[in-house]
Amino acid sequence: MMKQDAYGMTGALSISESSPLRKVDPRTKLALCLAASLAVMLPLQKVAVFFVLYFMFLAWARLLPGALRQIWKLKWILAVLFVVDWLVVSPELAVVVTLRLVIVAGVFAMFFSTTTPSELCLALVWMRVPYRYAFSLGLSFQAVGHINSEWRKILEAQKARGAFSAPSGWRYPVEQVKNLVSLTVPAVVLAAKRAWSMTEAAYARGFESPNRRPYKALLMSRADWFIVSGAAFIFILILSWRLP
Amino acid sequence: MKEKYFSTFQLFLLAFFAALIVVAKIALHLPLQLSGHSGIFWMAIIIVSSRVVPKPGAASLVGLTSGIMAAFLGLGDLGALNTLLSYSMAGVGADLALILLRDPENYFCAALAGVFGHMAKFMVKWIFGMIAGAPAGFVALGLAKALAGYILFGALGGFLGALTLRALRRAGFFTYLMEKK
Repeated sequence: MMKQDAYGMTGALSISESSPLRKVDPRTKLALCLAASLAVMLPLQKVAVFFVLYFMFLAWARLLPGALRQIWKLKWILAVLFVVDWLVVSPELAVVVTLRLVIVAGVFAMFFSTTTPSELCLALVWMRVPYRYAFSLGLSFQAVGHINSEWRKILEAQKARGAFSAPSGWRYPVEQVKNLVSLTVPAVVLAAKRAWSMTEAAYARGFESPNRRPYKALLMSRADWFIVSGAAFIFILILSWRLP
Repeated sequence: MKEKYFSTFQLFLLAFFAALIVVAKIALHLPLQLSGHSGIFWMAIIIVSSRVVPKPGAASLVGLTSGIMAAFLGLGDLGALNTLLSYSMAGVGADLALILLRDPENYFCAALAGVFGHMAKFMVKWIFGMIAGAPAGFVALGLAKALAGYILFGALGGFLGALTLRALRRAGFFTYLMEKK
């Protein structure tokens, strides 16, 4: 089941609620993604084994449809690279480049499709990122919906007064760009006004207080340790495997 | 108490600029079939942010935040990692260029910073190709056409940023900001 989260009316967040990884600690998922992204450095046989294991893991995590959609987006790049590498260099290189690109393109989707921005913020705070920065990241997610509606209002208003028309070609690029100022100026001013009201509200709620404690804390469960140690074991096994 | 590098207001303002980049990317569709055309707004907002919060790192923070947001929202064709890195590098590139060029309200400096930022984003794609082991010449050839688009739209984005900053100055926006440190 994909949950469309309410972080904005534009491209809403798609969180896979049915995935077993949904309940896993974000730090565990981040470690898995980083380890998996290092797999691109492995030689052909090892990367092929990793690829099979990775797809089995995605199938278990019920994330395979999303990963396949991502690969589908890349189909033309992969096809052209595969054919050219095959013809110009070697079939081995064609296979290894394709596998590496598929892994790199899909690996962090595992994290982003099972983690909410607030969980990411908690993980960032755990990684010693100052709370103010983690909070502002969460704030920008919350603001997407509001800014989107304001953006549309600006667009409509400027169109109505004849101040904006979308560029139809690039015959007169400077004139076309000048035309876009009618969108950027009000958008920047509204963003500043909103930032100021948020600042006042944050101060009123003791945002900078040194005694602040998090409402929710991350906790590594047994499942997390099991996944981390299992992944580490498989990774060591692949690395220590001696090729003939 | 030790003074923080970015004040709370500046931090929130940069967060909203990051959201603005993502919204512009999703909501504004220019009818152009050219690679990198969405960079006009990205680079404009990044240039504006570097002047509105005049500290090194402001543009990088906007880039990083918008990169994380874009990765969560599934934007980009080459996966979440590529999206995160390209948005972040656009900010870092513009930041580095503006450390040298200094004045984002100058049309030439802003356009050059826009080109640097947009090229940094482009370099991420190229490096991805290299890491995957694709032949350098082939990757360069494949991206050569896109390169021209990236340079053009990066420069136009920087130019739009400078135009916006000048318009904001005329409207008294910076006086308004002075009161809200």
